[in-house]
Amino acid sequence: MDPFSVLLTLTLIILAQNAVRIVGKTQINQFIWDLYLKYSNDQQILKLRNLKAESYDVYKQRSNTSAQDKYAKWTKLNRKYDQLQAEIKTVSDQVSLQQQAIDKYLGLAITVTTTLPLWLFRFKYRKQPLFYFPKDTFPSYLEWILSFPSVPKGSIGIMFWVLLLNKFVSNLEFIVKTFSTKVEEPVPIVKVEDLSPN
Amino acid sequence: MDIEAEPSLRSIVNHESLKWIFVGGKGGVGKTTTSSSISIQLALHNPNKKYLLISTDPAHNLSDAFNQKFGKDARQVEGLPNLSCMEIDPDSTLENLQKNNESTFGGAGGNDPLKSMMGDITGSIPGIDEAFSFMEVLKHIGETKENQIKYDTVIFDTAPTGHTLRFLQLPSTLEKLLGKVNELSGRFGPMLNNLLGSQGGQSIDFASKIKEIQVQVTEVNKQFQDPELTTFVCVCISEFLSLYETERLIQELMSYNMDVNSIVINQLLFSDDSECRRCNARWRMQKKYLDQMDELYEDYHLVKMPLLAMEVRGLENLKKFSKYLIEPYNSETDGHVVFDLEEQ
Repeated sequence: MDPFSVLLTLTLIILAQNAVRIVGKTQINQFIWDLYLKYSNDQQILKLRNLKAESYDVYKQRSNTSAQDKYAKWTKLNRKYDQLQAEIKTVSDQVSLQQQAIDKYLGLAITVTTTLPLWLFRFKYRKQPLFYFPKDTFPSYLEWILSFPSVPKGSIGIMFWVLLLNKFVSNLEFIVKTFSTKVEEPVPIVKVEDLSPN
Repeated sequence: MDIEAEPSLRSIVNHESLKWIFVGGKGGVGKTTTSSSISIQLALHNPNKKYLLISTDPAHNLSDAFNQKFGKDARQVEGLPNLSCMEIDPDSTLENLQKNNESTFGGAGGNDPLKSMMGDITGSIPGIDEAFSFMEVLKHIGETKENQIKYDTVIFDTAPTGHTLRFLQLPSTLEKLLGKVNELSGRFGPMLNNLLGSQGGQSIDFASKIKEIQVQVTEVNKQFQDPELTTFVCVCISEFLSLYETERLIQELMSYNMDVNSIVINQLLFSDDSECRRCNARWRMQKKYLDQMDELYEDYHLVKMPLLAMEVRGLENLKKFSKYLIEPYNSETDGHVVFDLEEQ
């Protein structure tokens, strides 16, 4: 691959890795699980979906029925709702076993897809210079440090590029987080002597 | 009219094998009046059998209902020798129990930490307080002083707080606890034996103690879940909140597998066409809920009792009132009873 493609692909991989890290594994797992619940054709999950829809239906009906005026109807809907909730609970418990299995494999898959490409790249392109500095940008010893592992002097290799990009992303994350969180105005401290009895 | 669900408690009075009758309901709906009435009708219908009416309400309501002083020991009702009443204060019973338990499960001495730990564990099982106080009550019934009277049926006037029957959930909890204790004593027993030296042999006692309790509670529950031996009569009034509480009570009892087939609705006005407009309006409201109940509780005996002009106190008045638990009240022919009660 030509150097520019290597650089581009590498950058994308690192950005993707950081994105997964920032979003967090649990969020991703939860998202995939919700999709699975919604679209799966598994028998238990279909049953769960139907039960939930029915339960919501009964709930709406009950909310629209006046308990005082139509006590019998309201109570019958109430009984049905309780019964459906109990059924939902048992089916949910069974389905959660599936959820645990999916979470496990998903976690594994995410870990592999985020770490493996980078290691492959590091191995395959360890001698690949990504780009060269214009001449005399850095003094000679710095150029040697920057090119440390095995790339020719005066260029940047994968190791430092990864370091650089990761640091850049975390700094960006820090800035965004700092400016997006609201800080309460501090309460002024009152001296005890100033607290007069009136 | 479906014979299965006649509006009367006749089936309970005629039920030969019933040993335990619970009467309960939330709010001042007339539990004590109803339980006293049921007991009186049972005693009148079966003069050869002995009945015991127990109240665990600390407010001594049975003494008020019969206008006669009752106490911790069963006393016959004056004028109805085959019915006795007993008023137990559950809190003092529980204190005695805790003292007894401390001697078996320890804690006071402080020299055996395991025993106090067991005391803590058993104290925190949900329903254990109710179970202990209940078993004390049962023991008390069984061990009356001189004559060792055996009662054919015991009627319980359950306290207003309603959780008296929570211990019916106890067997499954106890089973889990017993399993855990066995597991723990299996793992740590040998080590504890070494640590405690001579006292080590007592560590096995905990499992056997809990097993003992479990056996007792299982036996009690077996009886309470048998519809031939036990039944629960719900008491309510014809108003929304009381009905809602009754529904919840019935659902809870069904989850305990206890038989419920009768609901007594008290304080009904039956004032279709009276001169009191307020009575007419209130009766319309009550009728509205009564109709709903007829639809909701088709398979239950719904007994409708009238609101009388006075409190129903004293044996004679209770006799007059309790008649209508068996023969349904008819406002046209039986209207005289409203003002018929004797001043006590």
